[in-house]
Amino acid sequence: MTYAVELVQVTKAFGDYTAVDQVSLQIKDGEFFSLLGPSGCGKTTTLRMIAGFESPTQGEILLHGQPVADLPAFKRPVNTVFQNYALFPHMTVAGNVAFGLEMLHTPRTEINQRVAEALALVRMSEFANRRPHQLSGGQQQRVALARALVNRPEVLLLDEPLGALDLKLRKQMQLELKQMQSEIGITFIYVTHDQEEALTMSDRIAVMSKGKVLQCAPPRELYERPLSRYVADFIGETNFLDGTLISSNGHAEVLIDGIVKVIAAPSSVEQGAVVTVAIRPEKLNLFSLRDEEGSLLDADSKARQLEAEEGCVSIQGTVRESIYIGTDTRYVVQLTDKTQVVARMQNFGTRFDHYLPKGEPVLVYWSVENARILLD
Amino acid sequence: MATIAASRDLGARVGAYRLRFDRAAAWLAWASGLIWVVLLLRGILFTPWLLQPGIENELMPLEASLRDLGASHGALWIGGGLLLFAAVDVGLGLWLRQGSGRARTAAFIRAAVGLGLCAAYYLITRDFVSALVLAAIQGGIVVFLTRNSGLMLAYPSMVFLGIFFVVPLFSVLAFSLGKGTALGTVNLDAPGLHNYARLLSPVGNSGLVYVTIIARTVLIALANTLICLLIAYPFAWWMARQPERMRNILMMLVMIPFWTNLLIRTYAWLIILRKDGLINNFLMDVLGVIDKPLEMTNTLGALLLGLVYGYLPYMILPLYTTIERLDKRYIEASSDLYATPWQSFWRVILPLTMPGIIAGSILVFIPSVGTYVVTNVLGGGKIYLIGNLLEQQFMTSNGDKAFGAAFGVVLTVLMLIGTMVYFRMGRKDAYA
Amino acid sequence: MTQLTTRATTTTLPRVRALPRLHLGRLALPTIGVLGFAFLYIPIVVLVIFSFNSGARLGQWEGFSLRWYESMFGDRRIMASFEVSMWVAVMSTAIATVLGTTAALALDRFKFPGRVTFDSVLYLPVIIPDIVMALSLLLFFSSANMSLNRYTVLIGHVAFNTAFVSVVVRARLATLDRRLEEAAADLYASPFAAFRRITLPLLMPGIVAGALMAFTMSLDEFVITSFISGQGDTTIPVRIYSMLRFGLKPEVNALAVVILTISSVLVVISLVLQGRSQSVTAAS
Repeated sequence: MTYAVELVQVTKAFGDYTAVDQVSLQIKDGEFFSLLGPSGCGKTTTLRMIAGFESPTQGEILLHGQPVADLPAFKRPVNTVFQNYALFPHMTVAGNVAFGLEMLHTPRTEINQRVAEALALVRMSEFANRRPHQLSGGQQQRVALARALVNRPEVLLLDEPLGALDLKLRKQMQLELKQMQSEIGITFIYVTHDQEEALTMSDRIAVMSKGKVLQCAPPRELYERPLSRYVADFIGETNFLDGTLISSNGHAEVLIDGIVKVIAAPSSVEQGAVVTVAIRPEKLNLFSLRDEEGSLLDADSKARQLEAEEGCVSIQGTVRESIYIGTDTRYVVQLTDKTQVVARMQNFGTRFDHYLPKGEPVLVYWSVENARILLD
Repeated sequence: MATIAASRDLGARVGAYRLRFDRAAAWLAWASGLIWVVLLLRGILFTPWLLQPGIENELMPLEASLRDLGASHGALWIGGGLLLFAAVDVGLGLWLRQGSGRARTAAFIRAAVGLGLCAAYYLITRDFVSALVLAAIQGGIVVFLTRNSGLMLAYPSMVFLGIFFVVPLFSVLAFSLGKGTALGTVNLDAPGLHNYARLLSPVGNSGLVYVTIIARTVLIALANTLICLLIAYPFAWWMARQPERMRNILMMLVMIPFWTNLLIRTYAWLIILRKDGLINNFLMDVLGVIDKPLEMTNTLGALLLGLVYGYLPYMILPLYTTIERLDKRYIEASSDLYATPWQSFWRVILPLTMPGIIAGSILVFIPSVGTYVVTNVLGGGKIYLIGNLLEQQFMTSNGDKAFGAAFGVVLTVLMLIGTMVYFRMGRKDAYA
Repeated sequence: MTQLTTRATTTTLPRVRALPRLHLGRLALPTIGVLGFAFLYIPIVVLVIFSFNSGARLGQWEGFSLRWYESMFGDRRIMASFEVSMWVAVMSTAIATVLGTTAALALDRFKFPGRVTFDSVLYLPVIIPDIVMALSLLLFFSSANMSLNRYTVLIGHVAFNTAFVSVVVRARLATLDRRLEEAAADLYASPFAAFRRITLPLLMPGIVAGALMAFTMSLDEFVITSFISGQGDTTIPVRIYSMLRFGLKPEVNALAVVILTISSVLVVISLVLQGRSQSVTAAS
């Protein structure tokens, strides 16, 4: 099958600086695809190469199987929604939206009809005769979208299109964009540094760092099964525990700090390797080692009980901080080896008796399949 | 939803896009071919008569040179050559439009030959303007063939400024090595540094006249710059403190003298300062304080007044721009950190407005070094500066242009050194 | 997981415009302001008033009359140089605007061999005194066997005006958002179409302002013109200078006022245009 957009070993260097380093991607027709990464990771440069504003130093870009290396931007069947919209300040909203069709020498009657349709699609019909500077940020964003969509591009490129909007408007536009995309079925390539935004909207996400694609997967897989420490850290919050792999027959056994033997989820890692164990805060549970009278329980026997009854692994620790944040409580727990981990416990009821105070001795435990072994 | 049908054949579009530069080059080649044909037609129609003596005025420079070379049957050669060139250019144009790489190479060679011929044409005929036009067309073909949009855009202005600005500037250097003739031309047969030697040697009993002129000019220009700075700084500060609407109006009021003729503005002072001028009339006839008119023109004071008046706006505008942009919070921060207003000024405000001071000083200093209008009108030519000397060497019949050129070189070098030193000084003080 | 997604936008606070008082005494600054403007304008006002003087003596008011304007307009030589001035100003502005704008575009938007050198050449007229430019052109023309006439004047004016227009237009180009052109290219506009539909309209106020300034410069230029103009073909400022040399005639006042008026009007129009265009781009 041919992909809507395919990047083959694309590299872009600006002098000594390599902005994009051997990136290969396959983006399917009708997919909502996101490029996610911090600023300077090369995601915008990748987008600009697809749009035709930059040409790759090496490698090839294919649109529906055809190489487009020498095709200037104005000949490519893709359209872009720019970061700050780049609406033409000397034209009306309708003039902006009609611009692309005029450049393609579309008949006037068809232009008028399609512009009206596009403006209706983004609910901006009544603003057709305004100038861009008379519009609010959200309205400008809609016009920019209409201006790109009216051309019925094969691929729509969006460069942090919601970046300039405030939080509430951004959430609303995220939903609208996603809805619109599934209605019209155009391939979207969406650049953002906001991991939540990417998770909410995308069919697949490519996480980029320092010009490389680290992982390319659907949101759920990216969150649940990150391949590297960077991805695990960038997407959501993660606890990292350092250790050494001592056996991997079926279940991997990892030695943490030479004290506790931890069993983590299976992974194809060689024995003796230095590894990181990653566990999400919401997958960690806390068990207070103080009973109702305030006397201490035996940690080892409780740990054995947890392992036997629930298949859970546990480490002893002390609560260092507890932060109430409405839906959950965040506990910062210091383990015996001085590492700090974060656990999130949902606040089910209104009773406060679950609340663990600072200094409380606890067992941190998690079920084996929720921990992941990462190599780097 | 339908995609754009045309996008299916992307490859063909790439080719067409690349070709457009070659096509433009082809048009120029044809234009050049047309010129050859015109020259040929002219040759066919007129040469038989032209080669007869007595119709001197009708001759084109090339034809005249040919006749002078005694090439009566050379017309045949020239005609054949022109025909060949026209044919080559038309063919080349057609070939180029097909987008062949070899056609490009051929066209490059052809344009190089064309440039060589233009040079030869100039050397034979000394017909500078025609050679220039022909060479510009040949160069244009090369530029299009490079397929560099920037070069294409810049080419016309580059050629124009190269020929009419850069080349003349460097030719001053060459002419300064020659000898002025009584006819007002420059003889370059025996180049040497004699003009510079003359510049540095004493004249009769008067001592180092020329060095004195240079020193005097620099001193007066420096004095002018300093006075302008001292007046303009508080003035610009006052302007920057006015409300926004007022500021725009004041700005316009400064811009008008900035942009209007210096000669006229200097002349206006004459009405006021002359012997029979306003002030003397007022003092003598109305007040009766004096019975003899005061001598106010033709003095150093009048000269400085005229210079300050002429160049003050050049100092005000850059100062105003920097002061207006100066962030008030820096001054507040400095007084918050226990600086007195005076310390704030020296340690914070002055360094921050340094770029404006530098720009203004350069804008004032440079033209006041070269001035001769103010010295002639208000100084009565009594205070003789470099500008006056240059005017005399170039504008009067007994001037020595080669010597003047040497002075021009000295002036330019002084200026370049001065601005460089000043910029470096300023950079040390100025922020970032 | 609630990572805040605020973008790192400008962290600087809005600029505070009003400047504090320098403690030089409450009245010192306004006094300097008033005196400064008096200094700048008194000679001009005197000139304008005396151009309507009915007497022939320079410093003595003898009554209102338009006789010097009449005799100025009746003077064939003055009118001839008026014609030359206008011709040179119009032609040089037209040519220099095209050359300067293309040069500015090339320098701002493209890379090409010789770019750096060309860039510094365009700033040279600022640090080279006009008299050096004048004598270099004079030497050049005489060595190229070109006789001095209005065409040599035109060439000289085009040279400095091209440099000037290119600097003005470049300043404006620098404020234009380059993404607008990318957006146009993205919307299928060829480079030429993008220039015609987007860049040029947005650049136009800058170009017009630059052209008006160039026109004013050409009209007012004296030093270079006086070096490279031929015997018959002189412009107004050169004519005024030669009139001053051969004794003061009151027609000079009238002529000077006419030139001053034309320049001032052009300057005001150009400034208004620039101000308006700035507010448009600032709003976008």
